[in-house]
Amino acid sequence: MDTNQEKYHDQIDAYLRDELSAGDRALFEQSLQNDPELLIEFRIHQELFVQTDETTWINESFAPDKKDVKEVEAYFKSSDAQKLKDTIARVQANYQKGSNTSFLKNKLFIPILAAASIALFVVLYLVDSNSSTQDLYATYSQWQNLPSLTSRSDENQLAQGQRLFIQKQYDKSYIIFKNYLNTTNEIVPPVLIYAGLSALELKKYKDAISYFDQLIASDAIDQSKGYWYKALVYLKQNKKNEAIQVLEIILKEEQNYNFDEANVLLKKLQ
Amino acid sequence: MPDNQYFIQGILNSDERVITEIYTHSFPKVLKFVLQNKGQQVDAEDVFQKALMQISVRIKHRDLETIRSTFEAYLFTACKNLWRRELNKSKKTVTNDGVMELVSEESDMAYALLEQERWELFKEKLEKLSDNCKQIMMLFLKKVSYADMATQLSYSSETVVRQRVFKCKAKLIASVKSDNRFKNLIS
Repeated sequence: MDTNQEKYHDQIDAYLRDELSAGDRALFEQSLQNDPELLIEFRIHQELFVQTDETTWINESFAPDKKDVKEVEAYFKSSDAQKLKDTIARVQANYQKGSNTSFLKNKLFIPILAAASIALFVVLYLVDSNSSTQDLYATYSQWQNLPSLTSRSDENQLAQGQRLFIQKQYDKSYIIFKNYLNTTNEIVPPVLIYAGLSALELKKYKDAISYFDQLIASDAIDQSKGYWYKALVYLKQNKKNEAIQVLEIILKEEQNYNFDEANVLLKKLQ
Repeated sequence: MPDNQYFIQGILNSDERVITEIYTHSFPKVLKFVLQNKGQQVDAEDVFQKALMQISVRIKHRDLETIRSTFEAYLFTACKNLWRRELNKSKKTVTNDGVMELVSEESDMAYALLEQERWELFKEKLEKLSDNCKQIMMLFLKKVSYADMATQLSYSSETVVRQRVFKCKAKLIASVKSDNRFKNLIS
């Protein structure tokens, strides 16, 4: 790989990993238009990012070979394909008929079926809503980009707490952070975050909320992080409405922490 | 569960009985996925039908190599990809003020198929990396910061992580580019 490509990759990485400022993004997009070699490298990278991002799909990156397109298209138009398509359509129709009517023919079953389907609906609904908020919680609870406490040189115990937190020993990290906060009058936002998240992981939801509320009430620059984490506490408890309310607060100001993520999460919840 | 060959043969023969089995078994899962992702029943049916058609043409004309996972898992991934492709299309329609090139359904399906092949090529190459490279690439692609990657993977510094990312990525891209399929997928 030559140095030219090395330079390309740095720019492309920063762009696709959302590390550029708006101005630099625009500059990069401009150079994409003027530099075909850069564009090819960029598209390869785009395809790679699609592998881990389930929400995107690149339709227009590379134009596939025209001959291939024609060939495949011809098959889709063939009588063979039509036969398969018809078969699938028949199966589809039967499948629906089957799921709608088969039992209903027997009148005796109707009341039982009605009761059973209500019960089933309730169960499915609960299980379903349960698993989807839990899935969402799992996505957002990777605890990345947390502040580092090691820079606070005099406070060895905080660094220790952070290590324990990263090792998922939340019971231990919780004690350290809790004690620290109990013995200081100062508001230390990062410690509030760690204490709250440790409590959250230990399912001490009330405590978690109280730490995040303290953060929200503080005048720290990253005060708005409190809202985000509070939303996650509700999410973990399947308290959808409460989570939605908190997310809506985040969306009032674009400067708020995780504004975009809050937007996405809110849409998924609604 | 019968083996993959059984389903593939069933699709190739347009065998109603086998397709019914596939339907009963896999459609509910696809339906659930589509409903959870802004779609409706008709969308799920459409995607399901297209995925089966796609598999059939790939077996007949594109030497679809052996399906590495189970047939069921493969079909589900194909459906998922078709659906996110649809979603991204509608996103674009909105941003382009409704200006969309009109293409026939068959042509659109042809593009979808070739895009799926491209996606599989990249996936395959990513999976062929060493475990260490794969782990690094996954974090990198998920946009985890270099500092966090260093902590998670116990590297001494961000610089070391950056070097690893660069090496693994270069290897990955070189393997994609040297694959014959890649040359046909761009033109």
